[in-house]
Amino acid sequence: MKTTKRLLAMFLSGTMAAGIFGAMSPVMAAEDETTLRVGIALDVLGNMDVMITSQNTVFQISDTITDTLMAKKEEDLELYPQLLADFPEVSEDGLTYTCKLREGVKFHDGTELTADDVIFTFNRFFNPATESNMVWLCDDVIKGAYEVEDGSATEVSGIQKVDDYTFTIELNYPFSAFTSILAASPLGIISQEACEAAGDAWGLETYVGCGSYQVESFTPKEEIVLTKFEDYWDGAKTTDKIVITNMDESTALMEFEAGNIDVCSLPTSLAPGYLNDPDLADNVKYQEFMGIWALHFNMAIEPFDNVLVREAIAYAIDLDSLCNGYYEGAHTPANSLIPKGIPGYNESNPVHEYNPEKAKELLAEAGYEDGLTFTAAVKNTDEIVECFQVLQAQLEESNIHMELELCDPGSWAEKRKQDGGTQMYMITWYADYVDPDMYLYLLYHSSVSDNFANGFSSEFNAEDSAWYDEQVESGRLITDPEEKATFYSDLERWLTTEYYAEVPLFCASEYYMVADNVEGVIYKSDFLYSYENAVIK
Amino acid sequence: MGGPSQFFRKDLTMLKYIVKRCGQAFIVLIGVTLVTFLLLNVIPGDPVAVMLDKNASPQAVENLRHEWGLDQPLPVQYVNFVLDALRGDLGNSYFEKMPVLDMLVSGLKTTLKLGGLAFVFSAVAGLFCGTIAAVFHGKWIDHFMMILAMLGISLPVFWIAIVFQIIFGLQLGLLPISGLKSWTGYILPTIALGSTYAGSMARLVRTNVLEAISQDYVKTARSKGVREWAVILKHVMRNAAIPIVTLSGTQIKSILTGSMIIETIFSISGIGKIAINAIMVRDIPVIQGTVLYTAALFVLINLCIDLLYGVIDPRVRVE
Repeated sequence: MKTTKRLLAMFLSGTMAAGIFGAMSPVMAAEDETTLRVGIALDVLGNMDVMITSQNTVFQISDTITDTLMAKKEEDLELYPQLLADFPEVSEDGLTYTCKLREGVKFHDGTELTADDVIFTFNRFFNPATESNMVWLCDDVIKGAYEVEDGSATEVSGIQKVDDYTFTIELNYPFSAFTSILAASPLGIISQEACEAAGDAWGLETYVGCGSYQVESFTPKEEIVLTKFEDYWDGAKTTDKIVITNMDESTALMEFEAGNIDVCSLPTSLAPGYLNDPDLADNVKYQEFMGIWALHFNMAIEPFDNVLVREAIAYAIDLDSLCNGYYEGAHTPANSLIPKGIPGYNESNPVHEYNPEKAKELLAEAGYEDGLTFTAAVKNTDEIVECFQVLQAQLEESNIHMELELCDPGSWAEKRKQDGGTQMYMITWYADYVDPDMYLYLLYHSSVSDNFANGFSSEFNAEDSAWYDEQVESGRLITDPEEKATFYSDLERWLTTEYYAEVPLFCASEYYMVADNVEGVIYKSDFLYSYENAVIK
Repeated sequence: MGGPSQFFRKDLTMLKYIVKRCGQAFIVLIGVTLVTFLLLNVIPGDPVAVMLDKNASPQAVENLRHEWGLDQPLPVQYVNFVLDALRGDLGNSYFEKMPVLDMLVSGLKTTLKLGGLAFVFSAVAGLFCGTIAAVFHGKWIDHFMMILAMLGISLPVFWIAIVFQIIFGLQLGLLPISGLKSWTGYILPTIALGSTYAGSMARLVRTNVLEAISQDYVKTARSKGVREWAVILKHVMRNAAIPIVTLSGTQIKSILTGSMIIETIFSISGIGKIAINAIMVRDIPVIQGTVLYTAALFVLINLCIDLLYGVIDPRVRVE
């Protein structure tokens, strides 16, 4: 007994000492140069080469190192010419884009940006040896891209140099969103000379663009150190260094609290705790993304080949309870598949009604009087699993039993295909380019039905499929902004409230932490952090 | 006793034994690669589907499958893998375009360093705590040490790691919370990783020391007037150190595999993290490489232990 008491006393005094010393812990000495310290998971950053990935982490780091022909403003993602001197000049038939580069732009290796570098970047992007997995962005649009992909050509015939600072891009068909594709991260312009000289070391040891920061050192998956590029065409940035270190979320939060890093992400489930902490509440930032979480049906197989069943699911989900109850208002209920900020989003759309009785009626009409049982393929990440568990409970109210099949990302990617056998899955779809095409074409055009269970397949629904294909193809031709917005808004309504091809749940949002003395770091609504305008006070 | 012929016979038996065990080890390795290969092809999950995340053209899918050799029949893929592996070529990571061997070597350096430190820590701490507990048998310090040992054995490694991070990193600010940038960064992960083994070692050492203390040779030493610390160090400890050797075989393995959790918590890029990431995205060359490494390591350790037994205990050879 005595021993136990003594032990307890020792433990208590130890804890107290920890508290006292903790309060006295010295503040880290300020260095002469300003450094932005970021702690995020870098498991996907095995290689800096942005062309071989589809990961946002790599995109945002590459965006700091390379510039693109066009770019999106940080605040509202509005397009502006970055390496181009002005918006491309589009021919009357909408097929030829004439682009003029800024003059005097320097790469980090000192060479000057010319049309040759741009052409090299595009050729490399489509070259099968590069193994780029983002070619879908524009391989059907740019003339001659397919020929490079299948190896019958080495240069994209549709991109031609006019002089050192001018080139033309020829398209297979007019495509109004093409300019915004030129702002996509994987098309960051790289130095031909540096890339050819680096060979296999490209992306591992060398990575040369003309962005505002250059690579000082890179340890795959561990750390990348960037230093400001003094000769940046738009003037050198304020912060001298950006150090991005690999940390998992909870470790990063601890490092943030200890004052060892300046920026990290904050899981939604932990946000209330930090928002209620008077010392840290001011550091919590919030961003709503141009991204949507939605339930996707495999319309090729039972029971979701029946529109009544799909409609019943929409009525059985209580978006208000999910977003304002479970997520405590962190996410906004979706009233459209096209997120806010993208043409075609209509603010006046109502959020889909929650009505379990109506859901039961629809199910009875569809022949499921005794209730419905189905299985959803659930990608095994905490946030998606939690969301599915809430939905599972909600669906029970309407006598719908959803079974959850947890899958790691590898098997999930296989299952979501039309022949993958899953009946339903969740998609988290973010805008790689700011255009409704990214949502209504890429998710549903019949050419994608091999990749996605919800892509219209002519095999099971020839009439709808042909009609829909025609619609999204004609949408690509519309150049008038107003006409475009109305067109896509109407098509979206048909897709989600008449055909019930899917149930949009909410626009994704996220919390993140920024230190008191840091300004200008923003988690942009395209799901990418922007570090380059950081100012350390 | 004996003569040249008997010596030769003995030597031959040992040689036969070594050859037999090496042969078995080789068969195990082949079996492991075969099973891994088959499992990877049976479970759902297509790396091409993961890589070509969004709207990929059928042509792009086909090209990639061809590039990765996935369009060849399974037996051909397997034979190619084994032949390349024998040449020391484990292929390139699908996703990072980096030679798998380079990834393994860099991950292995970290994991071995951390695992080695954890092993040394647990052996030293276990030996120290166990001896102290035995010497002060029944006193409060004995109870305290044994409670520590019990905590080390029963508390999950990840829990110890996080509590250490909070106390020594966040509250006291004495040690780095994560990363291995300086030598101080090794302290917390080493202790957290070695805690379980240190606990079981301490208990074992205590039992052995207690047993040794009551032996006649210790009594003799004491009665000869040898000082108490000398008795403990020279006579007792030498015998009590044996469990370290016995336990080490199994413990080295569990420390190496257990470092995975610690690597994640402390943001250290070791072999465990590499394997987990690769499995998530079906990066087949990396999975095969890490499995081959783990299997080879285990087989090698087992082989060494068996051969050591063979040297120590001749009966094993005869069997």
